[in-house]
Amino acid sequence: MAEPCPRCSFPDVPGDKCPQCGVLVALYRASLDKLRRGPGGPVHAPPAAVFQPPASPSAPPPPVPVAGPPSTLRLSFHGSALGLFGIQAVNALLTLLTAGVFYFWAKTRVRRYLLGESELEGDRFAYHGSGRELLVGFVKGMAVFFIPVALLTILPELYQAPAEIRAALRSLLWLVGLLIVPIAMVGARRYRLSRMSWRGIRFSFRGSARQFVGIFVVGTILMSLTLGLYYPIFVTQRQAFMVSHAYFGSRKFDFDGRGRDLMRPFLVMILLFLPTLGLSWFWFSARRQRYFTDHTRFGATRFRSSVPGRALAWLQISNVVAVVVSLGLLWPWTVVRSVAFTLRYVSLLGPLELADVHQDAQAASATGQGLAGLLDADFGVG
Amino acid sequence: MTRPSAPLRSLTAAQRRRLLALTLGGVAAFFALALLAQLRVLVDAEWEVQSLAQALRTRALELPMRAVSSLGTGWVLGPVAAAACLVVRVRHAGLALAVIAAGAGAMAAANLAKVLVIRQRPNTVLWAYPSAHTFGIVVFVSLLLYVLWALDAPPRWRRLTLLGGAALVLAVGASRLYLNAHWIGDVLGGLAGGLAFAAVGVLLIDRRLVTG
Repeated sequence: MAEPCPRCSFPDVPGDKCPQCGVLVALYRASLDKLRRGPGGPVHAPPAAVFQPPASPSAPPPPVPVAGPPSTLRLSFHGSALGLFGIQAVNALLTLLTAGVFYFWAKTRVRRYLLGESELEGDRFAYHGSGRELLVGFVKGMAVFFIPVALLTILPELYQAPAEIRAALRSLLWLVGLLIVPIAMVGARRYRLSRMSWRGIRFSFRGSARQFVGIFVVGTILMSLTLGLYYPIFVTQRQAFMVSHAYFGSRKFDFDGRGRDLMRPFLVMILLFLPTLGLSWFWFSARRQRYFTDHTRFGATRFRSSVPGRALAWLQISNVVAVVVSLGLLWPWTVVRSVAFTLRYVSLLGPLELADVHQDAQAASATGQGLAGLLDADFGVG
Repeated sequence: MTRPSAPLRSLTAAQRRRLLALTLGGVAAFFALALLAQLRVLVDAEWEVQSLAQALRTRALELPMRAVSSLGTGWVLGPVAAAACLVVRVRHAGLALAVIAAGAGAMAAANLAKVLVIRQRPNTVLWAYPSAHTFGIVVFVSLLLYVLWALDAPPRWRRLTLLGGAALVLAVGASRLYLNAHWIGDVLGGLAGGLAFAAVGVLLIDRRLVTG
């Protein structure tokens, strides 16, 4: 029986492939099915009346269709400040009514909105995280972080420990922080990517926290020893780790940037920092963003960023001014324009070959996310 | 010189109680469905219904379904309601104004309600819950029925409107599923929310124009 295309609604697709948009109908439906599953949710074989051929329960998950001929693809954002303002108004009300407990659900709602309004190739991204996961992650994060910190700070004061012991404990606290921050960053990234999907295929992060702790600790020490001059190399190493361990389904992202390439722009930025009253930082920030994006690949697809320093400076300065002047009321506007700004300057070059990409389930807890929230090491919007 | 308004039928105490119960039930159902949608409790059932709706799609039904679906938009409901109110204005200007205000309020409420649940439609676009088309057509049909009742229209007209209106609501709801624009939960949410809104509207109009 001929069926309509689930993506563009073209009626009576004659075969498996839609003549209008080129999507493979059965596979696209299977992808949509997965899109709606929560974390770790079962993926049922679709009804035979709709999906042809019916999937075998033991067969591996089907690949996503090839997304058209090689070209430049652009991400787009459909969100509006008004929409996010409405969501935030509900969030604020429910957070007040629940004495703050709803905060975690509010965060999830904002993320769901921002990703749901982001589009690539005619399909929106999806966020599958839940407020309960964030709440549990926060409680675990508190247990892991707050209790040791409380013990190390309060007990010496209570028992009036000698100054040497207090100094030693302060050092120990610093060391604990140095270890926990990278663990939280990895955990947050693992959680967030595992809860994101596009066309029903999940993203994931498979880097080891231990490896990142090594990069982070060594980098922090070298930063201190070089009075910050090690920053370009440090930040590039961190980016390389975060990108090259990220996956979309079964295929990984690659990063081939080198920190020393950013050294010269960094030194120029430092030299111009005072004469430009700090504005050179935005120029460097844009340069870094372009460099990181341009050195990111996904299979044969290369990412490209054209973000200009002046536009970035205007965005960030005006955002801060808007939030301060409006006492936070314009926060949704700043978030929406920031996401739209980021996506506007990013493009994907080359063919987006997805034929061999399939779902590869990865488990991830929200503890790292909770820790990251506590330590303010959380990155990204929302 | 202003034409004197025709007398309006007033709700009895029992009718008001029933409408109040309908309001409370509709509001409860609306929020319960919103919660179930947000917690993804209905995913499997919704997917089954969606699969069935998509399996029924044919070239012949495509255009009629789009036409039926458009009946639930403000672009169609607005002018139709305005035209109907012009007719009603001849009998009772206050009622016509109240119905227009209720219609505008319904459109605003249906769109504002969408910030309650952040979830994607079957076609991955956001703002799934509730179906504003269903919400709008339910309010329109309900208010039309009330106007006919309040102006004491012949019972045959009211019965025909009831039957036609119910068929229209079903058709618009079904068209949203057919066009892959909504889940069944969104359509049911639109139905519950629309009924609650219309019941509140009728209670307020009766209180303001008739009783008070």
